[in-house]
Amino acid sequence: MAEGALSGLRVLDLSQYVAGPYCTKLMADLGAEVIKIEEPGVGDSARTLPPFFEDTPHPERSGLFLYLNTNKLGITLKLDTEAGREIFIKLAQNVDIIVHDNPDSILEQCRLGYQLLSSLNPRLILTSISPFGSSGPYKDYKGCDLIAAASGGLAQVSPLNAREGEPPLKAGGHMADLFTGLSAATATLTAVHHRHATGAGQEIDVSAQEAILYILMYSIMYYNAERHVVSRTDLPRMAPRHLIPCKDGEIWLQIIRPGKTGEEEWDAFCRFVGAPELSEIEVFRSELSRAELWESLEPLISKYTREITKEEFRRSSSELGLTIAPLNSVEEVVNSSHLADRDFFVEAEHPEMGKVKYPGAPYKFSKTPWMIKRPAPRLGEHNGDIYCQRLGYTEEDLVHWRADGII
Amino acid sequence: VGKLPFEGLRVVDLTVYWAGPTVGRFLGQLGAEVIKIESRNAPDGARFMPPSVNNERGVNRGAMFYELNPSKLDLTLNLKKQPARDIIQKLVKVSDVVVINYAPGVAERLGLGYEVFRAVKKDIIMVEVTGYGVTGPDKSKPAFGDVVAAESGMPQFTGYGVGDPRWFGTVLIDLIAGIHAVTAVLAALEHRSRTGEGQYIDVSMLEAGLCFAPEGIMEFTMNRRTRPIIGNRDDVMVPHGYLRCRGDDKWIAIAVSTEEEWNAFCRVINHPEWLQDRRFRDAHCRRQNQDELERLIEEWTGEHDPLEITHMLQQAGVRAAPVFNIEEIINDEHAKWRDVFPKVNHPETGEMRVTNIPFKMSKAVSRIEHAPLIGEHNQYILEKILGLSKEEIESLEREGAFE
Repeated sequence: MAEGALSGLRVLDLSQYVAGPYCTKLMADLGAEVIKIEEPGVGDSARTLPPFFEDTPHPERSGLFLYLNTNKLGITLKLDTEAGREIFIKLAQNVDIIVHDNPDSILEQCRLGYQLLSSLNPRLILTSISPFGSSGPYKDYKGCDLIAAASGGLAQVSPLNAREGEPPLKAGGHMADLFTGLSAATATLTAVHHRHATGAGQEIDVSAQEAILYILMYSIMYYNAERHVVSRTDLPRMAPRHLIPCKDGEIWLQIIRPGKTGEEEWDAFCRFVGAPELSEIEVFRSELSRAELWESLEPLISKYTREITKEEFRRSSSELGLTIAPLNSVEEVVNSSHLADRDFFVEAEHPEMGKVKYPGAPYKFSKTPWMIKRPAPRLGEHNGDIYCQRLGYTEEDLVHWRADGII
Repeated sequence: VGKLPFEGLRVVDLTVYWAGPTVGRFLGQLGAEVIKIESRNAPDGARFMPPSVNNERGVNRGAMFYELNPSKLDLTLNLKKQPARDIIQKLVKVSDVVVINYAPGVAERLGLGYEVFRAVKKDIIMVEVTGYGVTGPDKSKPAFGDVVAAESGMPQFTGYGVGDPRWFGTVLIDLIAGIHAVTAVLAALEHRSRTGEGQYIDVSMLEAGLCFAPEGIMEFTMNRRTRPIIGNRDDVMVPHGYLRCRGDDKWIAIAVSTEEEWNAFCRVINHPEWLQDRRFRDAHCRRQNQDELERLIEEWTGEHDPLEITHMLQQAGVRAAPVFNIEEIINDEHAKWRDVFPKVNHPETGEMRVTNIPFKMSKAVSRIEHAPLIGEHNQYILEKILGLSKEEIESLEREGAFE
């Protein structure tokens, strides 16, 4: 069978929760060997996060954890013990990459900083993920998804079209953490590329705040162009560019297409929803005045759109040249014939749950497969494989370590 | 040995608007020579999208273009003409990566396919970013970021409460796809360095977006249920949200995870009695009384500046951050220290800021140069990279290749 693009790369993953594990998932799904180190008896804190299979909270049943840790080998190790530290050093000598996300680094506390590790393994790339980066006045500040969205300027501009007085809003799920992990993957692979030229590894310092600023876009654009400070309550520069209700859910409605004036599209939309009289109203003919008058226009439109189903909108939008999209439910997404045709969702068999569908590959490579070879590891599942077969310890060692809480 | 990690890497950038240019943006900032191809007849639409500098439209005044195309070189080619397509082939022959995100069918019509490129450069890596991928029933649908986002269902997880989904405030799905495409290119480069083999990569915005919604999808595939919108709250941490501070539209993010943090939090905000209060004594009680708790916390935050109390809370070990706007970030001492928004001088519009890459490397640097004027590097590329003579260039010019 063909190998993944990153096969041959070895990664030691000390990170937990969402950001770091997404970084190493991206690499593991492309064939890198990722050994995930968890705290004995406790494990990655993402194991405590919903959704849980059959609603039963259990460390092996968190859908989020299972998604984030596909293809990884899992071992347990208590780093802040003399034996644990020694074992870790053995592991670190034979890997290309270590990823960690502990701001007041457990590595430093255990005298396992980059200095020492790189003296043992000069090709080592050490990727450190933290809320504000590892230099500057806020380097020791703690964070999470909510904090990164705030410090990175995303919360302030969300949601689009907020009403006066509405608070900032975090994107659902763990969007900021995932962006941070994605950035960490690009950073780490950049260092892998650089290593071909220099022969040496290096330290990478990924900031969650900066990962969000990197995708913020509109705020810096408007600041550059007009010194305007974008806010979630800004009037849209065009309308509709809104979610509006329909008969069986919501649709995203955007009349203007790039490079078009929008007059024709507005007329077509009004005719389609059965309100040709709306297109006769002069003040609604320009995108700007529709934006200014949106509060009064919205009920006039939604009176009609509430009578039309998502499916009717779906079918007609392309014919009419309108930019309308139904806000799909998860069920519609999971059952999408397009995504089925592309084999997007993948099934993985897990001992606790049997077969479950996961979101699949974000990209398709022509030569090197993206694939799920194994589900997320159960806590300490590969202790024997790694400690005995890889490092040459004995079953007896493992028994002692277990008794001492080292693994 | 260069300190720019992608020094020596050459990228042909056949991209427009958001998602596609993101790939060259990253590689260029880290040293790759990224050659953006545009036509003078139909430049990248991002040059004309609002906002333009001082509200004066102009091909070199689009702020969106600045942010998405820093450090790139620009070559104008009219790809409807054969001589221009021949130039693309010559460029591909001396390049490592091709990035493309034209509307479905356009690349094919212009003869810009992977097979064509592979014929001139055996190990070329090509990444194509589209709305829905290059196969499947929806492959021909145009890729409008917001539309793809709606179809992905992602926005249904964002909102203030159940039944009130809201739109997130930036072009997230384009960036999700674009940065995943970066990862893909880097992985393909690694494969090439090991095997000598190039390849073609198909990135769908819809699919990349879905990779960022695992909780919602797994809740459905495991439990046949839709996850409720929980606003700014969290499944584990409490309190957890954006709370009102002193001043106009000033807010602070506060997230309390452990009992130790809750202790510290109560001390900082001067409510040690909450530790005994039966409404708040453990995470379960705090969750039950979350509305009341947030109201009481806002009595305190409402009298303070968000940055000032962020320092107080963080020094006590509690997660906090101001809900920054862009100006506050630019002027913030930490962002200045980290050089998050370096200044560049744009030849037409003067000093501009560009967002830096989101990490620091101990043995490498990044760079920021202004986004190119249209056709700014025609001469350099044609003469220095392709080695064309003055006469050849003049003849191509007469044929309209550079329009």
